[in-house]
Amino acid sequence: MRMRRLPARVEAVITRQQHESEMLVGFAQLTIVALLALFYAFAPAGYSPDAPVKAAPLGLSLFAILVLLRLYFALTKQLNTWLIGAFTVAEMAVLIGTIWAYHLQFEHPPIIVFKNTAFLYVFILIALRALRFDPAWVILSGITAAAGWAILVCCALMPARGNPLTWDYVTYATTGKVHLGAELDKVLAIVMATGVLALSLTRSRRILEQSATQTQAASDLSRFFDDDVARRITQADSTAVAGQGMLRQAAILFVDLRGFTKATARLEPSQLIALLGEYQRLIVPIIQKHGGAIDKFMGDGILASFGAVTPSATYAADGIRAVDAILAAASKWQSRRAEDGLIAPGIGAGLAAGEVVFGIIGDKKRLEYTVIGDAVNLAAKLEKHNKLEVTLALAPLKALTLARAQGYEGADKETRSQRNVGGVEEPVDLAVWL
Amino acid sequence: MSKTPLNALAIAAALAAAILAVQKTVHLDNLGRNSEARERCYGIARAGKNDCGTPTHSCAALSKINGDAESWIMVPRGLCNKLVGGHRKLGEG
Repeated sequence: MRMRRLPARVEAVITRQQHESEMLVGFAQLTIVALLALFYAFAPAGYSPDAPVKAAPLGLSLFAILVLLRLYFALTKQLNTWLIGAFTVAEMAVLIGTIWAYHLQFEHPPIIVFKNTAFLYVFILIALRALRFDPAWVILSGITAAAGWAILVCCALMPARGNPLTWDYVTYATTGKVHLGAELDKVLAIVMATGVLALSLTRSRRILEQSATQTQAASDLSRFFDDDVARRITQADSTAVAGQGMLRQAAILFVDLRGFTKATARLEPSQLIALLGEYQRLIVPIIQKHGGAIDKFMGDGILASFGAVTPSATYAADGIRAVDAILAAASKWQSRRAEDGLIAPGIGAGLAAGEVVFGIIGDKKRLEYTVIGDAVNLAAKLEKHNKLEVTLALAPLKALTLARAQGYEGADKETRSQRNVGGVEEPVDLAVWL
Repeated sequence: MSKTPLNALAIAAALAAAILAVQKTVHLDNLGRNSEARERCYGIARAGKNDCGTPTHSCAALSKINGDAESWIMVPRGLCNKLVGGHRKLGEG
């Protein structure tokens, strides 16, 4: 029925969507049946208690049974094209049959069925089918209704004595006579309503396919970006443009693997990437859990920021907590790898806090966001400086003090005063992790 | 197919419910009779014994007086004209 073949994953999304729609149709129908039954319970009957048929209760209960049976098939995922088709036809048949039964209920010739207001429910039944993104069922429902009504007209006119027809509107409106034009009007209205719904469904179906395809694409691509950045880009009022910059108070964290460069020489390329993957899967979630955003991967280096992408009042405390957590996780990871007889590189980190510029750079075709500022340089240099201090992680004492002010309650760190860090002019007081 | 017995149960339950619904709402004895076998007859119902629907009240057994000209009961066709006070259309009699 569809022209284009969609990727299997997109098909799966649409199938799931259709399954949900089928449930929705079923529950909507049950709600309507319940409402009508409630109205009926309070409305006066208007016919003799020993009438041959009580049309409304009969129709409502048969309809409810059909809906429940279809819901059963939908819930057990057995609903196939044939079953949906059969149920669609059966529902409409129950409605038209109920309208027919009205003349038995009122013990009057069938000609009175043409003035039955229950005819309007034909449109509700067709519209209910539009809850599913498939024009075919709306069309089937509409065709059944139009054909059913045509049959009803024939069946009602056949047994009539004399001439049951009139072409005079006033006679039609004030007597039991049938105006063929009015009946034709009804069938036309069914056909047109069906056509409009089918058209609208064809369009929504296309939009559903597009949206499923694009959601899939977005979720595939979002793995290349940090969550916050992806959200910021998709929810921005205007398309992200290069040149937007924001001044932020942030903490910048550099993490890398000790001895990774040496390891590159000794490992197979696939082992190397496996090691890198394992390390990133260890570190990245910890950073994200503490509110950090991953800004860049550079080989074994990870540049993360706290409070840059999304402003935060606890950026320094978050950063320091992340360092604590990373070092704890890293030591476990190292001993696990060593036990397994694998290369177990250590992890080093450098953290600095201060004012940075967070901005989007690049051109129309390729955008990237970046953090720029003294804190970034200092974090990178501190990370390298670990080697000289023989430490696991370093941060300026100022950053630790700031973190304390922001609510950091971790253990006290050893401090080293007035250290000369390579590439930094002034000596720095350092907090160290051993 | 492990679902077969469950399906059979579901279909059987649906059929049983459908039969029950038909039994509760259809008078099989009366179904056979011609839809014109009976007619409405106004003005003959005893108070509280009318069938249904008048311009002033809506339903069965709500009429307050004997022989109310607006309350009706179904009688075999042709009988109404033979009854004192009986008329087949609202507003006659």
